[in-house]
Amino acid sequence: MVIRAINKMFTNDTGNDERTQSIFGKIHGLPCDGETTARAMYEIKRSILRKLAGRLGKHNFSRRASVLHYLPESLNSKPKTETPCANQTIGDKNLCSPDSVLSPQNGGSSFLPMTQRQVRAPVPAQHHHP
Amino acid sequence: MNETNELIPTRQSLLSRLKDWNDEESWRDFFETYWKLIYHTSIKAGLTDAEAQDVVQETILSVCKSMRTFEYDGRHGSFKGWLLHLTQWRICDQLRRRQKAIKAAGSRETSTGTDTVEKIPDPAGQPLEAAWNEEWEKNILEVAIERVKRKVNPHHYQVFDLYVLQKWPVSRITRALNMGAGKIYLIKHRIGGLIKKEIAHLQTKPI
Repeated sequence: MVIRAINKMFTNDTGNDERTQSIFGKIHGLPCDGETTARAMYEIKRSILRKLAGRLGKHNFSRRASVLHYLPESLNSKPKTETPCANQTIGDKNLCSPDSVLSPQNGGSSFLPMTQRQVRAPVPAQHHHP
Repeated sequence: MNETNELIPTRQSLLSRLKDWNDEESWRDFFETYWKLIYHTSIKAGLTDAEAQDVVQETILSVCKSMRTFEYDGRHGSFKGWLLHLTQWRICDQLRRRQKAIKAAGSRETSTGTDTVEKIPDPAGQPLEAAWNEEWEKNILEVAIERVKRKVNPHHYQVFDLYVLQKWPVSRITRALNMGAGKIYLIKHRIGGLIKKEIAHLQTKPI
């Protein structure tokens, strides 16, 4: 799976530059090519992979599928910016209410995209018996 | 890149392998090969680091999404051109998003007296394709070096790096590494040859 490949890259990230630096350091203590740049790019790559893993749903296949479902269908279509669950309700809960959208403010991940936010798994409605 | 290279049906086999989402190795190759190209082109288009990272994400996701139904037809353009278009659209999305955010903030005058909206680069006015071509060339060289670096003895690669990339004089390398000049030339020749092969492979054959 793509997600598995991305997660592997994220978790066991090749870190080839760092590894090479370490080997070089052990051998001669000499610098290698553009160490600073390589480290900076390595950090950027990690950041992108982390975000991608978040986007695809690191641990949840259905969430990943739902995100992919709302990506552009064709190369000519624009990405949808509206919340994917527009007008969907479960019980008395509107899935599009701000409360149901994960964000850093309400405990969600800051890695989630700004415009294609994922929806928190619906909480079963509580029934109050008179 | 010249016209002939532009028409080379780059990575057709890789594209067919990417249709299989279980082919982790191909997806890893794809990401490792192209993420820097997309990122640097986005930066050159005037995006910030965070925006450029988003463009990489979005472009990779677009490739994921469209890959299963994607039918490669070399007559309609190269993979390079296709990826450029995907990237270009994502860059435009970012610029549009930025513009919206600025408008929402009231488009206040900045301290320099220039309206913030006016500072946003116009994607249509940017020589994005030229930047893309330049980055494509650089990227091929970087990827080739990176692949060779993983294959060869790190000690040998360091000799190559010091001599060819950092342009140290041979006398300095012999002193620093306690190595004969002949061996330095031999390593340079061998690793240089591997990199040339890898570049040719990247330009003409699938990963």
